[in-house]
Amino acid sequence: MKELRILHTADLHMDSPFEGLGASKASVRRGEQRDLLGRIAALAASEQVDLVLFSGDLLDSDNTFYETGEELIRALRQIRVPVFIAPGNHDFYSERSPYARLKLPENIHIFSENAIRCVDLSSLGFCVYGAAFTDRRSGPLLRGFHAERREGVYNILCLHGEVGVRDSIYDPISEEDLARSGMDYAALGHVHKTGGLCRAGTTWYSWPGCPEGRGFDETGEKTLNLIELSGGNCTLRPLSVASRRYETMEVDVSETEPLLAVHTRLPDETVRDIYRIVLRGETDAPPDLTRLYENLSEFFFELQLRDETRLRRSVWERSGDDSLRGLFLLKLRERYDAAKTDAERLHIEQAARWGLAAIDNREEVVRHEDQ
Amino acid sequence: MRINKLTASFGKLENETLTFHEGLNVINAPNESGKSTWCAFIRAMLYGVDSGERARGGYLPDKQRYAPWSGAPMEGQMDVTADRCDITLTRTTRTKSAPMREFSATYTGTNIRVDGMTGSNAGEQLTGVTRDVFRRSAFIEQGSVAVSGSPDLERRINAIVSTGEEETSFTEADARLRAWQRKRRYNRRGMLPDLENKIEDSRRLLEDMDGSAENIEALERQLEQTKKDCVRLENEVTESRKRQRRESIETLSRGRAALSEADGEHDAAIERLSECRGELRRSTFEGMDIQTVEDRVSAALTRMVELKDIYKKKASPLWLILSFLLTAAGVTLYTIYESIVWIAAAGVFLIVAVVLLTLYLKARRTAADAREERASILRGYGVAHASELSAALEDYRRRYAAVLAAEENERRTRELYEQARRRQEQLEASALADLDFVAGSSQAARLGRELNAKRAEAEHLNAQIATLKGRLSAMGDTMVLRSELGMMETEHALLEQEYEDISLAAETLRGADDELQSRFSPELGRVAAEYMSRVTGGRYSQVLINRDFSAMTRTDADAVAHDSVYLSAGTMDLLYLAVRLAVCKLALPEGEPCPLIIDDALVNLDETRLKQAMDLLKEIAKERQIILFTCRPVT
Repeated sequence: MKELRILHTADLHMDSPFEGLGASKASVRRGEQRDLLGRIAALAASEQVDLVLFSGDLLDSDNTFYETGEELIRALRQIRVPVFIAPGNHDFYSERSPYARLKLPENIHIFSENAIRCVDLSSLGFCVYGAAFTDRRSGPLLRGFHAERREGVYNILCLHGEVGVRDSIYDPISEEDLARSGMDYAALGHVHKTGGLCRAGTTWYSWPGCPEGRGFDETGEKTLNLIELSGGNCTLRPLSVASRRYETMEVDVSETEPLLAVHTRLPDETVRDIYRIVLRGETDAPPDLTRLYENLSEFFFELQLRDETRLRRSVWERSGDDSLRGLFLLKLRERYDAAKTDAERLHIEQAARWGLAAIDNREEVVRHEDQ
Repeated sequence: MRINKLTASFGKLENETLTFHEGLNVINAPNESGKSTWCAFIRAMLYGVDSGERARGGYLPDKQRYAPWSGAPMEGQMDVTADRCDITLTRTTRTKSAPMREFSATYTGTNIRVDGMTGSNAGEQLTGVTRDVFRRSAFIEQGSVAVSGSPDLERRINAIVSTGEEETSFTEADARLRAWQRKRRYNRRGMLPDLENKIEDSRRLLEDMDGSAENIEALERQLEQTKKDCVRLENEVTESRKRQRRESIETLSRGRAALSEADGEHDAAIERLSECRGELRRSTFEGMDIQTVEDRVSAALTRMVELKDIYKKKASPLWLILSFLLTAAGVTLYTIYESIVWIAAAGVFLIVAVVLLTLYLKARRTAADAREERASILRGYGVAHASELSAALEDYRRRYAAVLAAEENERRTRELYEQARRRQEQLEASALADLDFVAGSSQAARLGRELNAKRAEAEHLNAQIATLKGRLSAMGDTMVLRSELGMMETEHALLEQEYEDISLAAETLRGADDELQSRFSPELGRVAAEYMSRVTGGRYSQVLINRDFSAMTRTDADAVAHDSVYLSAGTMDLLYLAVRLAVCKLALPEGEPCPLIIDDALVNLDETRLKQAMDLLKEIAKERQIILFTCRPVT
């Protein structure tokens, strides 16, 4: 049986806003996002894949800006092999959705029904099965589905759904469903963090996660799947098309000067990345975020600094003093001890910081403000 | 500290000297004698003259106010005893802009400098309190007996009532916290409202953009439909115009054919008519009126019949011959018989014969005339016989009928032609109307107008879309805006949290301060009340002191305390003197009592009160030096 190469990606969420970026940088990112599809198309060509699969949530909503629709056509037109799109919960298929409105090139097939349908390309050596979300949620689509295997033809599934969450409202898919489906490879999407290559029965499956992070909840290296099917074997090679990535780094500044502490922890190549550095630990006074930002911002495309340091416990020690400061701290300490949630405790600690800064006539605790 | 001697070139004082002793010093002098100047001088010697002060409405800074009237430089000397050492402080002026800037402190009578004492710290070293606290406690200026709050004094008092450090002032810390709060939100100003406005603007802009994008999509859908309609209409218009033209042309040519046919028929009828008329003319009667012909021919025929009758009735000569024979017979017989009878008979017969002959001849002539007349009639018609004439008449009649028929035919065909012509005119007019595709009423014209309307609509839609797109692109990129909005919302949440944090800090700080105050206020009030009770002979026994050092007092009989503003001027002075003294007692360091400088604070007191106040001062003077300047004689 000849080898089949598949480029499989999902959850691009095009047209979603960029977390943590102001207007100017957001507009740079905007341009880069427009290139993302182009890069995927280029990858399809350079890797000589036989087909490209988008397993849902290609767009962030059906309220897509018409320009994005045009970009979509422009980029997809560059792909010379068959392309399959299985709309997900964000870009579910409807009369209003861009999929219905846009005049897409002929090599693009968009599944439009909330039931599994087959596109028979056995002359090319494969059949693609797939279905669409037609609403924000969907019942199980693969349950009880089975397709016969044919000699010399790979059965490929392109579907948006959640594996292993029984009561998911987003097309729950069980391993049994996969095992019984008769598929050689199930290209899934929905979960934003890749799950690697898995196997249920004789069905290989995988979800690639988003190809590029869009916020601090999507940190780290983001990739898409290059799948190689060869008979009953399957290999997955993660490929990166991301131009930037989001990273969150926590730095303990209890014992070290914050700038030194950050530099000690920082990897070399960060200039293209969007970083959130969270300062943790216990300090007497809040770290000077302005100075820190001035010193560090050039190392990143965008830097966010979060001060989550706690008041050093010793500060509380003066709470017994018979003075304004002592009484102030004592009163806060009483509230702190009575506080039930971390948020409340944090609130009280911050109040203590502000109060002490005021009493000691220190500078206002300035957070970094993105100018 | 104790002040021993003052030497001053200060304001109106020209190198004047005052000496003091321990305890109560009363300098009794009239108004305008320089009492307040001496007070100011003492302060200047201790703390220096603030050269940075500027004159402002109703206020002159010391450097101007006390510039020596003589024009000499401002300077002076003060001998004090502090910590069992006699010290001489000297302040002189080198440059006029910095009066009394030059400072020296030596042990009296020597040139040995006092270690660590400088122009700026001398006062604090000697009195133990800052200028601020000094002015608000030991230094009681004329007209400002009431204590005003100051962070320094507050710190002093806090330090007194608490055991901890004394560097904190609630007022200052509170002011800072409030400033930070105000920076974030103060009514409708500050970072939070600014950010809220920006967020609101962004949201509205985004909504607007979403609306615009939706509008554009709706308009584009509409445009697409309209364009389709246009294409359909264009086809329909082309088709219907083609059809209309064909129909019109067909109708016209049909009309034209009918017209030319009618025309042909009419022409033929005319020809026929003229032929018939020619025939008629060429006939016997040469186109005469039929009636005339009829009459004439009928008359002629009748006449011919008559004539025929006439010439047919032939005169028979038989009777004539017989008469002649009888005559002859008679003559003969006469001859024979010679009878007269015979001759007579012969004569009769002759007469008869002659008559008969005449008649016969006449008849013959008439017949001949008749024959002649008939012949002439026949000749007149060119016929040989009457039957020919009848035939000619018959023929004429026929021809005449033919003419009439031809005339009738001509008239009919002319009418038909006219009809056809009118009809053609009508057809042409209606064809013109039908072929008017602009203003006409044909289906093609109607469709054409519909098409034009659709085209205009498409154009309008295009323009609308272009406008919206222009607006949209001018508004920016939604995603970029959304990202920024997200940032602003995060920022807003953080600021809001900060505001809450600061509020909690301020609230807690106030609580802490209340607690402190609840400690120092009663203490201060208690001491002040003691003094107040003393100077009022026990009348006012309670004093309440607020955070800003404003005071209230009440007699035992009063149900509520009186705010100082409701008190008589004398009582108010006393109240504030009591508070002052209490503040001094609490705020001034105990070890090295600082002298009290009192400038005419007792002017409003009656004799009894003045005496009581003096008694109190005397008692206090046992602990600390008191320098009292007054314009009233006191004992």
